[in-house]
Amino acid sequence: MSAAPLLSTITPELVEIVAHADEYPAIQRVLDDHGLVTFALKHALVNAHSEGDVMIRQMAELTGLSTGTTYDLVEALYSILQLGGDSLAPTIYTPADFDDEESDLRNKLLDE
Amino acid sequence: MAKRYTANIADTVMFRNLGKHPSPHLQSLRRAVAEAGTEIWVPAAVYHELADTGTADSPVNPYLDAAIEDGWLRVATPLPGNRSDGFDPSADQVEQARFVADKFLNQQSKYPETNNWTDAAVVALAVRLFERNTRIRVITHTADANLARRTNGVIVVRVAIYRYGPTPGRRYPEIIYNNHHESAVGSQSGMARPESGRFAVGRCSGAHPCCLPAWPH
Repeated sequence: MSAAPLLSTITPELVEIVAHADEYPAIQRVLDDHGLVTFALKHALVNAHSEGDVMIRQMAELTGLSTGTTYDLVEALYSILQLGGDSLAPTIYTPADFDDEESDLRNKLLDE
Repeated sequence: MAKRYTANIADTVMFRNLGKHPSPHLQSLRRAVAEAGTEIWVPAAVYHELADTGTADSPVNPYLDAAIEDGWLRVATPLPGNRSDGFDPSADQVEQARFVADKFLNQQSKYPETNNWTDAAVVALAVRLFERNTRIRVITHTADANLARRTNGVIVVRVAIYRYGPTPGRRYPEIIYNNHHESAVGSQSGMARPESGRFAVGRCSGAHPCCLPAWPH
C-alpha cells in the first residue's frame, strides 16, 4: 500500500488547522516549503498516529519532512485537534498486556 | 528478596516536549530522577537526532548536554550493526534485536516500508541492558503506540506511552516517581521479564559503561 490513499481533500478540519498557522510556525513553514499536498498527507498521518497506526519517524520518511519539523507539526496538530484525550497520565503497557502469541513474534519473524 | 534496579530509556519525543535547557520541565525531571535513584538512558541515535549540528565542529545538544554533564542522563555507546549489511544470525543479540525490531515495525505497518533503524535502537538498548545487568527492569518512554506494542512483541519490557496534550512535560517526572514507589513496595507489577524471552540475562562484569555505579550487582 502506498501512502497516497491517505491524502485528504481540503476538508473543513484542514482549513481550521491552516488557520492556526500564526500560532504554530511549523504549520506555515511546511505550507511554504512543501505545499498543501504534503501538509494534507501529514495531517492524515497525524490522525493515523493518534490511532497508533504509524510512528513519528515513519511519518517523517513518508512525507519527506525532517524529523525536527515532524515533531513540531505533530505537537501542533495534536494540540489543535485535541487528539490524545484529556488525561495527562501515560498509557502503560506491561508484559502482562501481551499474550504468548504476540510475545513469540520474534521467533516467527526469524523463521520466515 | 534481591532488589531490582530500573533503567529508563527515553525516546526523542520526551525531550522535545520538555524543551531545551534551561527548562523548568527538565529541572522537574532531574529532581524526580534523583528521588527515584535512577538514570535516563538514550541511544546514540536519539542524541544525534536532538543535536544541533549547526556550524560547530562538534554537535551541541541543547536538550541533553546539561543533563549529561549533571550526571543523570547517559548516552549509550553506539550499538552494533549496520542496517545496510542485513541480518546476520551469528551476530550478537543486541544487533539481532535491532534488525528484528526494524523488520518487525515494517511488517506491522499499514504503510510503505520505512527505515526504522532509530526506533529499533530503543529496543536494542533495552536488550543490551538486560544482557549486562542481572537484576534490572527496563521502562521505555515513547509517544509511539505502535513502537510500544511491537517492542513488547520482540522483547518483554515495560513501556510508557505518552500523549501529546496542552501541558507537555508535566507528566514525565510523574511516571518516574510512580516507578520509584513501585520499587519501594516491591511490586511485581510491570516487572520486566527478560528471562522469559530468548534474550537471556547476562551477568554483568561490573566494569562496563552500562553498569551504573550506583547500582550494586
